Amino acid sequence: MADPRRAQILAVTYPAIAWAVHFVVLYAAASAVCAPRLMLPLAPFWAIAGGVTVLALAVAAIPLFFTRRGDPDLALAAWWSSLISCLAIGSSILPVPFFTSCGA
Amino acid sequence: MTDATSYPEPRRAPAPDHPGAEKGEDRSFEEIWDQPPGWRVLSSVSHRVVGKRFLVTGFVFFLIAGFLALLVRTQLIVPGNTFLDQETYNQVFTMHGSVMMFLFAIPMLGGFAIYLIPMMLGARDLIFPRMGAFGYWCYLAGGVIVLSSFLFDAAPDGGWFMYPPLSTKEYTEGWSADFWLIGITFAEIASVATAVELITAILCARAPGMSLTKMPIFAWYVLVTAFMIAVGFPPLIIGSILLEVERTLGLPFFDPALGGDPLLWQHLFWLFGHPEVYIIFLPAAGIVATILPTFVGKPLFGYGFVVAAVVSMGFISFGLWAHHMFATGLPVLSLSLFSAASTIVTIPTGIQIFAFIATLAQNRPRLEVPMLFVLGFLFIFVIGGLTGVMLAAVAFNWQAHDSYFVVAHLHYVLIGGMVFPMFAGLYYWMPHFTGYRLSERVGRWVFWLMFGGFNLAFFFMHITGLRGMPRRIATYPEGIGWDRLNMLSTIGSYILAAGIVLFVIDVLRHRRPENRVGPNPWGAPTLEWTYAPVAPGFNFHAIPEIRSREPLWDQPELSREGADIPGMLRGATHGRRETVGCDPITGAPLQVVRLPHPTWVPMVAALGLTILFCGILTSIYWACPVGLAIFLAAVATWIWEPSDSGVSIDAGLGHTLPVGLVSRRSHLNLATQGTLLVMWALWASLLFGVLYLWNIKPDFADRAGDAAHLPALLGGVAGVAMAIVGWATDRAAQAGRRGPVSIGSLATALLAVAAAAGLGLALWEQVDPWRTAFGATLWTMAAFVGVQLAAILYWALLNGVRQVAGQIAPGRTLPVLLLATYAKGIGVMTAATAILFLAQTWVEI
Repeated sequence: MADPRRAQILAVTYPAIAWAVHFVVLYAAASAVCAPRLMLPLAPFWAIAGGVTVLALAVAAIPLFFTRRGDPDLALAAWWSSLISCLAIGSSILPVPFFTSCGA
Repeated sequence: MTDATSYPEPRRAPAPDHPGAEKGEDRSFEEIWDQPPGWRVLSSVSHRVVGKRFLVTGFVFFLIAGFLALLVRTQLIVPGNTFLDQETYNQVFTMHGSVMMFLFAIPMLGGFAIYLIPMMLGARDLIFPRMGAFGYWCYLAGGVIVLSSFLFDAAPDGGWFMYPPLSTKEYTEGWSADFWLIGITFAEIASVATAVELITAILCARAPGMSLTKMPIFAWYVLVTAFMIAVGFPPLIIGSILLEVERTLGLPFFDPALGGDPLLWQHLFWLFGHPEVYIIFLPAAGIVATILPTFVGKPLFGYGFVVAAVVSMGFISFGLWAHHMFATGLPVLSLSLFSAASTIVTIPTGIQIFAFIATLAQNRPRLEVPMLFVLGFLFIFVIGGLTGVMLAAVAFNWQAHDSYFVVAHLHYVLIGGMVFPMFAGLYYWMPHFTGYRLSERVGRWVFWLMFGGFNLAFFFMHITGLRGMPRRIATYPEGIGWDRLNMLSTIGSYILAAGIVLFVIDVLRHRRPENRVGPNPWGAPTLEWTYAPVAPGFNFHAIPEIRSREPLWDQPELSREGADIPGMLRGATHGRRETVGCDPITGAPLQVVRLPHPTWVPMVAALGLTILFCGILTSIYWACPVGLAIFLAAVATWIWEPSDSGVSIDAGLGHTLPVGLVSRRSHLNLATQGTLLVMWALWASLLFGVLYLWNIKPDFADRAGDAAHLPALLGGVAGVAMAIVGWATDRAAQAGRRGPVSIGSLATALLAVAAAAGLGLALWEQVDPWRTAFGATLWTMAAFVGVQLAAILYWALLNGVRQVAGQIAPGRTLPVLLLATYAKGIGVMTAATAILFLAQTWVEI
């Protein structure tokens, strides 16, 4: 049987990776909307931002509910990593609905 | 479990039972670990020697940069001062920032990590000692190059961030910017090499039983920091290469007239620059988290909280880079993202600070000098953090941008967050370095002078900044409310400097009998204090089993005399330097790792690179191939030693372990993956440049010309094939199948040539790198991948020659496994580059 600590180490890191992916997608989408090439209008940006936020939160929140087995210190670390990452994802998306243009 | 005291302890090695053990069969355990005498100590690769070199050199750079800061403050002491002329002032503040950030802060903390990590984790040395030594010589050479600019009256004067267009040939003629770009890039190679070494050492060389959660917290801090360096330094390395190529060859990466953009430099610089603040802060916070429990007498509160905070911070700190660019006209929609990340990073920071305060609350701390500096850190860093939150708000940032408010903020963060912990660490570990402690009485003077002087110098800068004084001005008119504040700041800086001078005097005179210390002078819980200072060169006579995170508090057997401590590889007598390699997660012993003896090879390799870089700097281009040849020859010598894989050894405590494990979990394979991580980060930085220019300057990107389809396609296919062959060779190597392994190596080399040819031909007649910045960036990407493919070819050839020469015995497949791992990563990178070339012609919007 696999050592549960391997899964726990993943659980410490993947919420933060979910934040990173979310951040990169939002930055790329904002650049696609606002840079001179004008690849996207604003409406699809909101759809992309909403979709990726739901996905990222779903992934990042997993350790909040499933980390109790194994090393207690790693369980605590995974839970807090998950909480911090969910807050970070939330804070990234929070200002977006207030924009009706790029604001430049 | 076998009691280690039952193990015999032969002093002389038996006849070698394996090839490769050719370095000291007739020497005792102690002799094998001895340092070379006299001037030959320069060939030492021991982590303790290399770590001390980093610490001493870094501190010397700190003193030099501090002296430059005093020149700046003296110039600003009164309005209208003529102590320094404008040009000299620009040089002085540029060199102050550059030396502090690149040559002092990171190498100094790297020195602590290199010195301490093996001893804290129960290893006899770092896992790649030659890499550490190579990094040090690169760092020293880079630092000397940067500082030697003063001798040629060519000191850089464009600010520590070297923004174009000011730093381009048009506005900065001569060599000054070249000194900066080449010297700093060279020093960064040292940091990246050290990062890969530390990642591997922490994951693969711990004492038996030391799982990741039994590691001292300092190791977590260093591990996360090392990953951040591996990912965070490449953007600046790429940016520096692009700017140097623009200055040397005229490729227009940052020239708006040809589709370049100066903001691309700012993005690349701050993609490195902001994580760097955390790269500096985290190991320093690790020092605090190590010292606090010792003086409180209780374990660190909330180990799990801190691990979560450090890992989260390692990621989130990469989302902050553009908060240095709030005033550059980026769309506010984008700024909101960076503002959010800049605000949210306070949560993991706050968790750490609360964990430190909670640790303090558990017991009354002993207020000795290291503890005073820890308290100073808490006070100053929290203030710096609060002004950081203010600057994270876009509206406030616009008001305070480039003012002395920012100068005050960054010094509160960096001096509070790094210099005070560093002094705490120097006072705490000085007995370990020298066997003598520093004076407690003088130390209190040092602390109060530094603490008082610092706050006098920098607190008032907040007000000076809010009153509108901009950064980097050489003088100012009187009577606009800045005069007294600047006077106070300058007096404060002199007091701060007096504290540091007092510290230096104390260090120079501290080796006196009354300062001699016994075992574990502070009553610390961590493993580096197992032996009485100064600990023997082998660190551990036997590598003990670890059952606690505070082993010296919880494992009484570790307080015995050093030679009586039970453990693995007890007085190992195999004629080689050895330590135990472990499973990265559980810490279970996996293998015996053979470590190198003293050698000149790292110094020669660094010398080759120095000649190469100096050739570029001085435009003496014939020196470049000479330097490269020396470097490649040194690398070949480095690798040229018998492979020990396939041998097994009785390692003690009931373990019979292989030497040089052929597995994906081996330290060599992990280091190869770490190197790939750096290479991918470099490639991603170039990709950022390509996409940025394509998006920002669409007209020029469309004018750059299209890559030829067929060669690009063939190059991509060769890359995919190389990855597949690498995967198959990897499996064959792990199964020990000789035939497929040899064929796989040959195929890898041929495919590398084909892939390089495909990518080169795709651009050869189609894309002119001098015509547009976009085309230049595509060419740079192709050249970068080409260098990787050339490295694979060289590696495969070396492996083949080693096999023919009998250095790799039949059936020993570890060298091929490593090449296969690297080839897989670079094969995918080649394919991705080819796809980008093809997509450039297909995507039309």
